[in-house]
Amino acid sequence: MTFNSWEFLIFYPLVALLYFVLPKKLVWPMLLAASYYFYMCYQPDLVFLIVGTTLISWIASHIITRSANQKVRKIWLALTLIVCLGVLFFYKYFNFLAGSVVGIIEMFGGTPSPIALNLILPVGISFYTFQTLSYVIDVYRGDVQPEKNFFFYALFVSFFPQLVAGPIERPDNLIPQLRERHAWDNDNAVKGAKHMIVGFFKKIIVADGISIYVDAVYNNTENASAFAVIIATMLFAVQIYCDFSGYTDIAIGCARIMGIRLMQNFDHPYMATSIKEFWSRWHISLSSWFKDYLYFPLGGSRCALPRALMNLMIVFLVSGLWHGAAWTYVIWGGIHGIYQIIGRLTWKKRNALLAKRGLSENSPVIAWIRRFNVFLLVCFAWMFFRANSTADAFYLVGRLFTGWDVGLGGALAAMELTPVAVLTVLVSILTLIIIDRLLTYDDAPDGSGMLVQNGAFMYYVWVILFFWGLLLSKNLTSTFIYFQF
Amino acid sequence: MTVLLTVLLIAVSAAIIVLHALSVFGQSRTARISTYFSLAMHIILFTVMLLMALPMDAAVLIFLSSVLIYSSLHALRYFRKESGKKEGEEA
Repeated sequence: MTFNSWEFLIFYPLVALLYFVLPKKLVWPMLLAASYYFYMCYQPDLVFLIVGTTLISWIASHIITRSANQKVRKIWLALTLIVCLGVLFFYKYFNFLAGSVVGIIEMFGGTPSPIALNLILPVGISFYTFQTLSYVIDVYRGDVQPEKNFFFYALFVSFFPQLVAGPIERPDNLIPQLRERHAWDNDNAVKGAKHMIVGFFKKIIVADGISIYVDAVYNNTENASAFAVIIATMLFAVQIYCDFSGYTDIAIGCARIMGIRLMQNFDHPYMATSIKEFWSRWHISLSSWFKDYLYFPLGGSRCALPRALMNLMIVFLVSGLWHGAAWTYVIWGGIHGIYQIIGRLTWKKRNALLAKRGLSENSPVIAWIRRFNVFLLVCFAWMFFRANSTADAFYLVGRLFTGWDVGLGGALAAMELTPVAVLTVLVSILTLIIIDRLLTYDDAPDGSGMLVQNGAFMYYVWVILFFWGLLLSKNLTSTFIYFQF
Repeated sequence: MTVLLTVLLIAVSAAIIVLHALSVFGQSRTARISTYFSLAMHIILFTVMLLMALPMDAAVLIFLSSVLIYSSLHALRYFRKESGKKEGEEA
C-alpha cells in the first residue's frame, strides 16, 4: 500500500477517524496495529525483522540505563549496533559485497564461483534501522530516557506515515507527541491536508509525468546523445526531488492532521548557493543523522585540516552506500564528498576574488550564478545516482563529450518529447515552483494563504484526482524512488 | 466542425481564465461561486474531450496550464497583499 494507491485512500481516513473517536488508552494500540498492517501490506514475511530490531534495541536501552558499569553499557551499545547494522548489511549489502569480491578475484585472473543469495530487500530497512540506532545512542548518551512500554516504543519505530521512507525521526521529537492525545484541530487539519495535496501534486503530476522521459535515456544508454543526457539528467533532478519531497509532504500531512508534527525534510534544495547549503536543505533528517552520529563522533571539523576533510569524505561515502548497494551510489557520495572538500578549501579564495572585483557575495546576481553552478554540479552527481550501472554512468558521462552528432530536435524526438510534451513538462515544472513557494507562504497567520481557501483546496483535489485517474486508466502504478533504500 | 471545436475550446479556456481571476481576486461570495463554476467547466471540458476521443496529451497540457494560471494568480495576489502591507507599515 503506497500513498498513491486507492487502498491508502480508504486506510488513512479510517485510521484518522479512529484516532479522534477512540478513547485515549486505545489510540496508540490502534496506531501500532495500523502501522504494522501498513508495513505488512508490502512484505508480510519480513515483519519479523522490524519486530526483532525493535525488541533488541528496546532491551538494550534498558540494560544501558540500569547498568552503572561503563563496560557493560558499551558492550550492549556495540551489540545493538552489530545486530541492527548486521541485519541491514545482510539484506542490503551481502550480494553487493560478494559480487565485488568475486569481481576483484576475477580481475586478478581467478575464477571464483559467484555467490548470490536470493534476498528480498525489506522496504524501509535503512530508515527504521537508523531510527532505532538514534534511539539507543541517545539513551547511551543520556539524552533520552528509555521508553518503559515496549509496544509504545514499537509505535515510535513503526509509525506508518514515516515508516518506509522517512523522515528519520528522533526519539525526543516523536515519542512525546505520540504520548499526547490530540483533539481534532481545524488548523492542523487544513495545514496537514495542504501538505498532502502538494505532496500528491509533486508525485503524481510532476515526478510520474517526467519519469518516462528520464527512463527513455537511462534505460537505453546506447542511443543517448549529449543533448538527451543533459535533458534527462536535469529532468531526473526534478523527478527525484518531487518524488522524495512529495512522499515527505504526504507523510508530514498525514501526521499533522492527527496533530503530530514530523520534522522538515526538504527546504528548497535547488535554491542552495553552495553544496554545503544543499546538504542542509536536502534530506535534512538523514544529513542531520549523519552529522550527529557519524561526523561529530569522527571529530567533525574541530581537528587538523586533513583529518577534517577525511571525515567529510567518510560521511559522504557512507551516505552514498546508505542509499543503495551499488558502486554508482558510492561514487555519487564520493562526488559530493569531493565537492565539499573543494568548496571548503577554496571558499576563502573565491570570496577574496569577488571582493577584489568589487562584488559582494550576497548580491542577487552572484547568488543566482552560484545557484546555477550548484544545480549543475548536483545534476552531474545525479547521473551516477540514476544510472543502472557504473558502466552506464561512465558511458553517459563520455557521451557528454562525444555525443554531439545529434541536435536538440533529434534528442527530443528520441526521448519522445513532442512539442506538446515539452510544453507539458515546462508548465508542470513552473507550476511546481509556484506551488512549492506558495506552500511556504501559506503559513500566513491571517489565513490568507492559497490552500487555506475552500475553493482553492477543492480545485487542487480535483486536479490530483484527475491525474490519478489518468495514471490508473493507463494501468500505470508507480512506487516512490526512496522505497528501495 | 474542427474550426467550431477549436473556437469552442478557446472560448471555454478563456471563460476558465476569467473564472480563475474572479475566484482569486473577487469578493468572498463571487470567489466561491466562480471557483465552483470553474470546477464545473473543467469537468465538462474534459468529459467532452474524453467523449470525442481527443488526445489526452492535449488535455493534460490544457489542464496543467489552467493550474499554472490559477497558482500564478494566487502568487500575484499574495505579493500584492504583501507589498500593500509593507507600504501600509511604511506609511
